[in-house]
Amino acid sequence: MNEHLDSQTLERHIAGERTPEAENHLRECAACRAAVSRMEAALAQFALSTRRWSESQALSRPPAGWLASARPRWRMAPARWAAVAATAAVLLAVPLYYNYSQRQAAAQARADAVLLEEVSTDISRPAPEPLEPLIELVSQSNTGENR
Amino acid sequence: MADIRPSPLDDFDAVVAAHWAGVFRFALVSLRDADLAATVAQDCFVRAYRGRQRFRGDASVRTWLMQIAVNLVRDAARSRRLQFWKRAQDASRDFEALAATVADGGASPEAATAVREQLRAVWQAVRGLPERQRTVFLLRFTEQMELMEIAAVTGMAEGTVKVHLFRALRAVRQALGHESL
Repeated sequence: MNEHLDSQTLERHIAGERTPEAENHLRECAACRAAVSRMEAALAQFALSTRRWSESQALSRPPAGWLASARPRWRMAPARWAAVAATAAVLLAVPLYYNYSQRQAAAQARADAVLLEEVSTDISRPAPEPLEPLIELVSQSNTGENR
Repeated sequence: MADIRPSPLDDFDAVVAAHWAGVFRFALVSLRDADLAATVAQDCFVRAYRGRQRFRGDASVRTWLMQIAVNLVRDAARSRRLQFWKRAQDASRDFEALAATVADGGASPEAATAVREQLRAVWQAVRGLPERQRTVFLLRFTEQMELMEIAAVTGMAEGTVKVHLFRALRAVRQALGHESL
């Protein structure tokens, strides 16, 4: 083994693109192995520093309740939707019931008027309807006698 | 017929709890401004919540959220370019104290100083990277994403992701003085 890995191969390896050739070389070459280790250690320290810096910030956790305030107002819980639906049903039912009652009252009034008319006709007759021919006969007979 | 399969986004509070830290960290390291990073994180989750019907499950929830975050970070960096460097200076003071905590983990004073210098070099190199290289570098080495996932997040071809990542690594290796064996 006469040559070390070139920069490009080392960078590819560190970036995660690993080839069997580079893996084999690294097993045998201490200098290249040390170069990779040094770079990986520096990158691990960098990652750790970003993590610690982020975690040290007050805003590294979401502010309490902010998502609830960001949700659109029309998005309601199912129980609220049920209450709204029930209210709407009641509001719709009241005029329908009122309309139905009015129609029933009007029909009843018409039936009462017909009945009253029939009663009035019956009362205005001098005799019940079945006796009317007899009354007429008596009336004609009386008229003939008077002559 | 409507699709009624359960979605990983059904419990959105759990999604926020699981992924806020990653989104915030990516935004913080990219923008170096905690308030702006928090705004980006909030916008990211609000957009995800409002667009959750479009989530088809082809990618993971993390990939989907990071797609949104990458776009928001890019927009935020562009719209606040003038204020960026002042904020970056403030943030770097904040960072110096934290670099010390990473470096002082039980090491000798000399080793701690070497680690601190190394960290400073990496941070400066990352700060100087072009936007795409920095994004790819951070997704790979701070969020530990695979190349395919980075391609999905950024919308780049996998080959393009590799090119940006190799260039970013070369810049960081040069900043560390590791480029020669």
